[in-house]
Amino acid sequence: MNAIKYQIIKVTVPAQDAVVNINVNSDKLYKKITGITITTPFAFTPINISSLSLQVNDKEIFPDDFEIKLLTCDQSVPVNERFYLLDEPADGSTVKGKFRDSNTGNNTFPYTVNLYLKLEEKQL
Amino acid sequence: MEDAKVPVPGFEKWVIIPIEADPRTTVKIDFRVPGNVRHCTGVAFSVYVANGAFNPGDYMGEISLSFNNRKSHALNYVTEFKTAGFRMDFMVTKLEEPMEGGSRIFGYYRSLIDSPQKLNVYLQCIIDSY
Repeated sequence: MNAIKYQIIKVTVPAQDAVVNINVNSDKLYKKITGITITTPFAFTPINISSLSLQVNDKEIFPDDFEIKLLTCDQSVPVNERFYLLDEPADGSTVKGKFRDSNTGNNTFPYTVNLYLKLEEKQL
Repeated sequence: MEDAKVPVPGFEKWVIIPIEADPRTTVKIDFRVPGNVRHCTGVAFSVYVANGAFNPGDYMGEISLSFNNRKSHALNYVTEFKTAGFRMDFMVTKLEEPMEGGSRIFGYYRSLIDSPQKLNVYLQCIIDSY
């Protein structure tokens, strides 16, 4: 059986144009990170150019200034198809990155962005 | 996003080409790709316009890109206005372009609208190693 876990990384954005560092470890019980998706508490507008850089074990997944509007999906996309596919080791891997708020059109701060890591192959 | 990945050996790397265009102008593109890039499997566009009202699908500009120091002219395309979040594989236009590491990408972007716009061109590339 291929056990699946969705690990949430919560990124709290304190203010407009803030840059928030991300530094977490993936769950040690799982071998692989097979996907990532992002949710925000507001709908994305075309002028939103917030960005995310991400590395797993120092391997670049998304470079600086990678806009997260390319990674978010609206309600028309089935939940299981919202993940950007990855094939990276989990097992306590270091997930580092930076979230940069920019032009969200959102006036309520702080807000929380959720990054969901899809983990597979549980080690028994 | 099952279809977004092409099983080419190596590591995926996104290369971003930022472009700023004034209204109804044409901007030259001259960009050097990183030395470890050896293949380009797709391209996606993200248009940012601060002012103006547009409808999804409106043409925002035309882009032309030549790869490998103008040895191949792989892309002539239009950029469209998008409002909703799409699956990544719906945004990536597939290419199968062998790349010479450190080569230059030349081309132009022609704005078709009356507002200033910023465009990010996302090249989905394959690299040998980091």
